[in-house]
Amino acid sequence: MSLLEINGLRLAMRSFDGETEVLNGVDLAVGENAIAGVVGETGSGKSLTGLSISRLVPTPPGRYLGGTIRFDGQDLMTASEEEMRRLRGRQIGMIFQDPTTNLNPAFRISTQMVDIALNVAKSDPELIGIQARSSRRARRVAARQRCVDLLGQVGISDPDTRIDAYPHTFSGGMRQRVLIAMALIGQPRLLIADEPTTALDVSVQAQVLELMSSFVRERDLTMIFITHNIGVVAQLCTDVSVMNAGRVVESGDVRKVLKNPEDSYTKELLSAVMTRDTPRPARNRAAAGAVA
Amino acid sequence: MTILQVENLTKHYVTSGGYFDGRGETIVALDDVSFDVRRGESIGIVGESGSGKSTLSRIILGLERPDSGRIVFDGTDLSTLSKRELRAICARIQVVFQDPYASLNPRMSVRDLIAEPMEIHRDILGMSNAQITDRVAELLTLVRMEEDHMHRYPHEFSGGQRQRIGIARALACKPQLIVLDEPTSALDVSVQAQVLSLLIGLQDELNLTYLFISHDLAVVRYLCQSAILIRKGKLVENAPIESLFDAPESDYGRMLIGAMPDIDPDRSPFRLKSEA
Repeated sequence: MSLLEINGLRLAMRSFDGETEVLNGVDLAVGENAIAGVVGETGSGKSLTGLSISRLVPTPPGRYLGGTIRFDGQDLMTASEEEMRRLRGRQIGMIFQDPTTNLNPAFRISTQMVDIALNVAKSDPELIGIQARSSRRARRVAARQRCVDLLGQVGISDPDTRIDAYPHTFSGGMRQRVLIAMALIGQPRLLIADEPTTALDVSVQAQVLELMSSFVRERDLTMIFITHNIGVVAQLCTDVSVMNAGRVVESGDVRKVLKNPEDSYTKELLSAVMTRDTPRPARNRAAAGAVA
Repeated sequence: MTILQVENLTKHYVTSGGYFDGRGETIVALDDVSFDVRRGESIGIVGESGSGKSTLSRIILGLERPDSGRIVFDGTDLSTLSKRELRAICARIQVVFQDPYASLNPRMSVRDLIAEPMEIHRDILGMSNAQITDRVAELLTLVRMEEDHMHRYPHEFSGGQRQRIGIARALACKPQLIVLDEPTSALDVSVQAQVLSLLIGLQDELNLTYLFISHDLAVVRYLCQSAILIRKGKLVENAPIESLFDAPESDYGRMLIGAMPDIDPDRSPFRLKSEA
C-alpha cells in the first residue's frame, strides 16, 4: 500500500500571458518507508508537486484542473484548510532548500523550535511527553527538552546552550540540521525535502545525506527528496521519478531507472551529468605543444 | 609558457568586532598561496565556502590588494603599476560570474551589456560606436547566439543564454586570462554541458587561459588540466588533474573526491549501510 498516491495531478498558473499548465498529469506513488527521489530540471514541476502535497501552492494564481492526491487514504485535494493545517508539521513535514531564508534571523533557535513543539503538543501532548492538562510552564519546559534532544540527534554539539543562539551564528550545514530537527518535531510520517543540500558544500552535503538516511532507517519515516542532482538521488533514494515539462516521464526502482533508463529524456539527462568517469573532451588547439 | 604567477599571496581581513567591545578578529583569507598558470591552460581552483577562493580571484582581478605577495601577469608585477596602468591590464583579465540572473543589469539591452567593457576601455581600444556594435554582433555569433539578439533585454533569455551573454561580455576586450567564477553552478545539467563545450571551443579558438573556480570536482576534471585545492586560505594541493584523481596527496583531496556524489546507485555508502 502506498502512503502517498498522486494521480493525474494538473495545475495551471495564471500569468500576464494567460494561464499556463505547469503540471499536466503527474502520477506518483510513494510506498511506506521509501526514499522517493524526484529529479528534473528547472521548471519541470518538481517543486510544485512537492508543494501541492502539503497544499502550499497559493490559489490564485494557481488553479488545480484535476487529479487526486491521497495521503494514507485521505484525499488532500478536497481536505479543508483546517484539516490541512493539522496534517502539516504533524503528518507531513517539509524541509526547504535555503536554510538561511527559512529561519527567522530575529529570533533565537529556541524560540522558533519551541513554538513548533508547543503547537504540535496542542493536538498531541504525548509527543513532548506531557499530559493534556499540564501547566503552561511544564509544557514549555517539556517542549524545550524535546527540541534540545532533537538538536542533539541531528548532530549539534552542546545543544543545551546552542539552542539559545541566533541563526546567524550557525554555519549553513548546521542551519540545515536545525531545519531537519524542526521538521522532525511533530514526528511526521512523510517528510518532503525540497533541494535540502543544494546550498551546501559537498563534504557537508555528504554529512546531511548520511543524517537523513539514518533517520529514515531508524524511524518510521517516508521521504520525498526533490533535487536536480542525480548523484544525490543515486546515493540516497530507493525509488526515483524523473520529471520533465510537468509530467513524470519515468519512475521506478533507483537502480533500474539510473542503470537501464527506458525513456529518452531520462537517457539524455543521465548522459549530461558530469562524473569522475566522464571522458574528457579531445582538445585541438594551435598551442597544443604548451599542454603537456 | 607562464602567463600568471601568484607568489606568496597573503590577505587578512579584520572583522568589525563585537557590538560592544569593538575589538575585531583577524580572519586569514589567504595564507602564503603560490602557483603558476601556463598560457592556454585551464586551472581549477577548488575549495569549499569560506576557503578563500573568491578572495584569490578578487585579488587577481585587481579588485582587492593583497597584504603581501605579488601577482605577475605576463611578466608584469601588478603591485608596481599605477592605477592607470592597472586599468589597462585589467582589459586583458576578464571575469564571468556565477549567477547569470544577478550579474546582468535588467535595464540594459544586450548590445549595451556587451559593449560596456569596450566603452570602459575605450581609451585603449579606441573603437567608435559603430565598431563597437559590429564587435557585439561578432561576439554574439562567437557564443552561438543570433546577431539580432542584441536589441533584446536579459529577461527574454534563459539561464544558459544569459551565461553566454556573460561570456560574450568577458570576451569583448580580447582578454588573455578569464576568471570563471562557478559559471555553471546555477545551470541545469543539460545547459551546463552546453556552456562547458562552448568554453572549451572558445579556449581552443582564441588560445585563452582559464582560471576556473568551482566546488564541483567533476566539472573541474572535465575542463581543466590541473587544479589547486584551497582550504582555510592555505593551498593544500597543486597537481595535474589525472594525478589528483588517481592518487590525491592530501587528506583534503581524498575527502573531496570521496564526497563527490556518484551516479551509480551501487557505489553509495548510505545505501550499503541501509541494505546491510
